[in-house]
Amino acid sequence: MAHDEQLPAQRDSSAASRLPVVALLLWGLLAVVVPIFAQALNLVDVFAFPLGYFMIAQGSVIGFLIIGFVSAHRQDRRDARRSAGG
Amino acid sequence: MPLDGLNAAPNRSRAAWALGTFALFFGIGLAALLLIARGAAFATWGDGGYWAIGIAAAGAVALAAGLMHPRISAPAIGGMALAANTVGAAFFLAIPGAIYASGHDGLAYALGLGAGFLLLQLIVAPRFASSGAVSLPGLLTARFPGAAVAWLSIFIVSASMVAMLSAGLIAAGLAGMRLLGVDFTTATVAASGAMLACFIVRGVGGSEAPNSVLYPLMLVAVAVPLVMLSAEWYGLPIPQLAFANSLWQLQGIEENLLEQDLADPAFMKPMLTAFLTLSPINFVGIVLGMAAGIAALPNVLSSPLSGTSQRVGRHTALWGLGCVALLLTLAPALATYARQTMATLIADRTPVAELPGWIFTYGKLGLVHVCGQAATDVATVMQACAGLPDASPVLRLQDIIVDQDIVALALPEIAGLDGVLMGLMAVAVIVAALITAHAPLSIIGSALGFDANDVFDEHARTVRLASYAVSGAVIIAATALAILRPAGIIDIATWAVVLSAVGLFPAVVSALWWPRANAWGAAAGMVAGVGSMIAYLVVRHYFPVPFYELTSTLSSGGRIGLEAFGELRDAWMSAEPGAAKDAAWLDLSEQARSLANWWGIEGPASALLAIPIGFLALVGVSLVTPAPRRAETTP
Repeated sequence: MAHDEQLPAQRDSSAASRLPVVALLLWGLLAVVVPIFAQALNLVDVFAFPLGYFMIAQGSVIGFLIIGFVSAHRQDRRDARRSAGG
Repeated sequence: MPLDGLNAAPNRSRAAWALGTFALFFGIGLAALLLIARGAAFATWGDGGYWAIGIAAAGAVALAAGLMHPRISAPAIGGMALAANTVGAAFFLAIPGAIYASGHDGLAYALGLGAGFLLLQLIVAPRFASSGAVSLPGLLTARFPGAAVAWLSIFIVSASMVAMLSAGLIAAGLAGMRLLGVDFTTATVAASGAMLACFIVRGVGGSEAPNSVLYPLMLVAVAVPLVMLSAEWYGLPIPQLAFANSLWQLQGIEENLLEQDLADPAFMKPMLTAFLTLSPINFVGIVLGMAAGIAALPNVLSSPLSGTSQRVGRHTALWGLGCVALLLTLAPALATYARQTMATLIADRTPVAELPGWIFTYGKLGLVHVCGQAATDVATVMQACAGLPDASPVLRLQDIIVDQDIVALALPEIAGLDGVLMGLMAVAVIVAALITAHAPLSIIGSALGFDANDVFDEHARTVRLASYAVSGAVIIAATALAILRPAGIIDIATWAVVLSAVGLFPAVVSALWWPRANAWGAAAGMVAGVGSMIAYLVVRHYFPVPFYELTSTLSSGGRIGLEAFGELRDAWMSAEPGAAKDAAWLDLSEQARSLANWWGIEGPASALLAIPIGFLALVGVSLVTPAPRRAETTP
């Protein structure tokens, strides 16, 4: 990958994060789908909570944190590979 | 590769550690001091001492920040500052209050806040951080040059931030009321004066990183009472887990209350039953509207997120999400404990004469109503309850109305804990309201061109004075709105966030991700987003009949609603001109107002319509107008 002739700004934007599509889909799942089906999920219990309530009160926020953590570290690794390869 | 050039210098990271340690010590230290110093001093000063401590602590933070002007880009500290700035005093009090009042549906706000932080991290924060822009208006004007976007962004940012400031001022006003025993207007005006003083001491611009000291204070203030209650009631000092017991107990008590006719099913909103207040589409609308708004909130897209690298931006937002998650998962526990105490009070058939003291403490301030009257003393309450049309020998659940905005503040007193914990909570609220006001004031000032950062400017003094004048005007507007108190804190704060969502989110996302977007498109997107939301709300409310007639196929009323509307319309058409026709028109309008909606979307959830409209306008107008020059797309 010989991008040496590119301007720094352009190299920055080509090395920039792609849209994290998988993370956004999971985000939508937790922010949209889970609340709509909260009542149905309540039939299952987790940690002594009904699942639907648990997800909306705590689970989804914890899920956001996990998605964010994994996504941030994947992006870091991609950036590191790119700067090493470029 | 010098992507991390800004924070590569070792003295920067040492300064970051120093400030981080200082932040933790200050926040936790202040809390610990308050806990230790209970007794002697406070017994003589009364609760006003806490108020003084709150103002003094906020002033100290402002002064330190103004003197040191630290430029810190360590993600952990930035994340704490980001979380504190976003939650602020408003959501700190309002989210537990909303869950207390609406049960399950109140969780939409907490979920939206969490979802917003992840959205921020995934698509906005990294590119915003490396864009070189200092603030959100800065990003938009650099990427979309021209007067249209500049003025639109000032207008939307100011409106959103004034609402946000006024929500914070209401919170500080309520805390001041409780501590000083004065009326709401006095307490709010005092808080707004302190807010302006803190801003002047700190100066326009500068880093928001010192606000990170607020986060430990907020966390301790809310966590200590909850941990104590969890340990005392259930022997498990982790509120997030222990409150499951409370949830089930509360459900049992509330079912008993219904059986014994001690609670009105229309008033009682069980914690575990979804969609009693909000329909599913409105629940999701609030979550998504809040999320988009947080990701484009002017006081979030500011320092410490700005002017770093993609990596730092990403990790700052991630730390922010972590800090917010810790606070948010405590909110349902707080609400459940407060609800359980109230339900137990009713289930025990507590006579009026034995009502706990806090009811009268807050009743005197007009924040607790029993049987429709402010609960100033036992005699008033007895008289009010005897005077009810459906008078009952014992108090019922719906007879005691606690203002939802003070539930979080009053929890230590509601649950019978030490008074110093209420003081700590109130100090956290006051400090939060005063020092998180810096970012909104600073952003509005610099968007108008009053940026006094440039000390070499020979007009620095004039510019500084002008920035104080602007901030004064903004604070006066926010104070006026706060004193009117047109709605609860949660509604005002949510509208502030949703306004940013519909007005700024499409423009911010396309500024960062779509090189083809141009200034025409951005301006059109901003106008279309805000305009369509206002139009939807206004037309539905003031012109429900034509709105419904034109769009009845989209209404959530369905065939039954259409038939009912048709009958009323025929009645109106055939009515004799005069009083009868006017009355028929009122009936028709009333009916139409309940039907005039698209898919049942109401209130802040109308972001669900306005954000896509904003994006469509932005894309459409950008494509039919010339592409931006290349230099403009890489700010």
